[in-house]
Amino acid sequence: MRRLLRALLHSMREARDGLWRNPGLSLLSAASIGVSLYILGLFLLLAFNLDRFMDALGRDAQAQIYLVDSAGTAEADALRALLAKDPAVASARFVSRGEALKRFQATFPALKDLPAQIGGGGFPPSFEITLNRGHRDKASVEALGRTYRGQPGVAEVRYDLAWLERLAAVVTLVRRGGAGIGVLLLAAVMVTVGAVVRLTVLARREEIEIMKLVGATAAFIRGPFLLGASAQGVAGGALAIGALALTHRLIERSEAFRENPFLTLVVGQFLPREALLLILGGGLVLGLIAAALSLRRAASF
Amino acid sequence: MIQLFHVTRRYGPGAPALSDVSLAVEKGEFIFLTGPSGAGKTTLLRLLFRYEVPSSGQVMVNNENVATLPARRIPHLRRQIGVVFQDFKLLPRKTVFENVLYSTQVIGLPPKEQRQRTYRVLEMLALNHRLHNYPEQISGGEQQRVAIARALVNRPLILLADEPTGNLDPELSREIMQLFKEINSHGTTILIATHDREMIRRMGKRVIGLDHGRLVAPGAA
Repeated sequence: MRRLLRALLHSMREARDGLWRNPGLSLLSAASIGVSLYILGLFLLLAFNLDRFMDALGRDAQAQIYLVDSAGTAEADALRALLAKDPAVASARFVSRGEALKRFQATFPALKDLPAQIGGGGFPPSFEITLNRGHRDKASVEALGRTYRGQPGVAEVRYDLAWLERLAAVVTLVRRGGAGIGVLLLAAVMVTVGAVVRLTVLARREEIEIMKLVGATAAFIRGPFLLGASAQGVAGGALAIGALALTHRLIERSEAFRENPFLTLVVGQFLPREALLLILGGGLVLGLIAAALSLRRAASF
Repeated sequence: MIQLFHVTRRYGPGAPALSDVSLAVEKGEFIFLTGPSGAGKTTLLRLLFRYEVPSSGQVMVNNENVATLPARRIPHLRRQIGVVFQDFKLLPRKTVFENVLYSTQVIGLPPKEQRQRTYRVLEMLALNHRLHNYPEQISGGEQQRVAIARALVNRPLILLADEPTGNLDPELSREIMQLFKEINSHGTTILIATHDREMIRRMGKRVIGLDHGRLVAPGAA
């Protein structure tokens, strides 16, 4: 254990010396990781805010189950019990005839006498359904319609999630576009970081050769390079986070942001801590993989 | 300690660098490997620390078949063998002390022991006044002694030296040879490749002759 710790400390010192020895190359490597993670971060920011928007809309997205005029308390109670057991249903609120009328009159004060003038039964009682997450898609809502249309006392099940579906498609497109560009950028970063590591290995090939000759293990030789590349990756991740925060701040303070409500939807909130850790971790893993791939031959015996 | 059985090493379609060489070296022996340039001395040494593998035959070092040694065991083999190269192979960016210390770090000695051993071996080789100098700041003879110090610091069972006095004047060569003799007196097996006949004669040790990759009588090499 102590030997392992000593080897780790040695690798850390060597990695630090290696980074200082070639500051230009180290910066190039960190910057290339940073630029890629920054672009990925922008997609992440967009997807995160659209997700939040979708979630907020989804919470409000309700289906309505209207009851027939003749429906009594027994039918309403039976339906309430059924809805309570339904895993798709987060909540079901009963809206009586009286409450529906009050709402109408509050929303359209100029027409408050209209229901009395046209007569009839007025507004039918209904249940306002809020759906659970994971059941807010079109298929789930249609299934809900099929289930409750046949129940005693039910006149109609209404929902309108088509526009939500369209927005979901946009979010999916953003995510896929981000993923596609991300894969290309990651490949480019791997090549850049790999080339930097190979250049460093080339510059130190004599040293590596001597290390091998005096009995250094492959892990001992590779350790400093791997740690160095990981540090460059983390630095790149930090650069990306800094640039993202700056971009977000600039957008928030801009005139266009205040005037355009759409911008508040798509970049209203900065990335959560988990996403920032993901960017830092992504940089670390990226540096590590690129270095490991470049070092396959350097430390072989 | 070292055994070679019908070892042949080819680099291409031409004549082999080593051809059907068989020999044995006992523990604690001091041996000169001699022969003209291109005789196969360096190739033979390289086979011993698995820098190269034989085209055919077996190479045994401390009861291990070096030819079939898996890659992960090579560092372990090399830790038992100290090698002094003709061109020293010192790290230019490290000081004399760091060059020697490096070998102790590689085998994972505790830091205190790393420094103690390094200092002792440099003192033994009369280099304690050069600890903080870089290789380019010291003479060829001192560089050679640093290379020897590095080969010795991990207390190897075997010390291999390839033309260790090739770049040195006669007086320094004698000093270095005296040093090898002293190291050998502590039980380290020593194998030195050289074509310096005068030095071999003066030392009076066992000689293995090579010519065109074949073993020959020492006087004929």
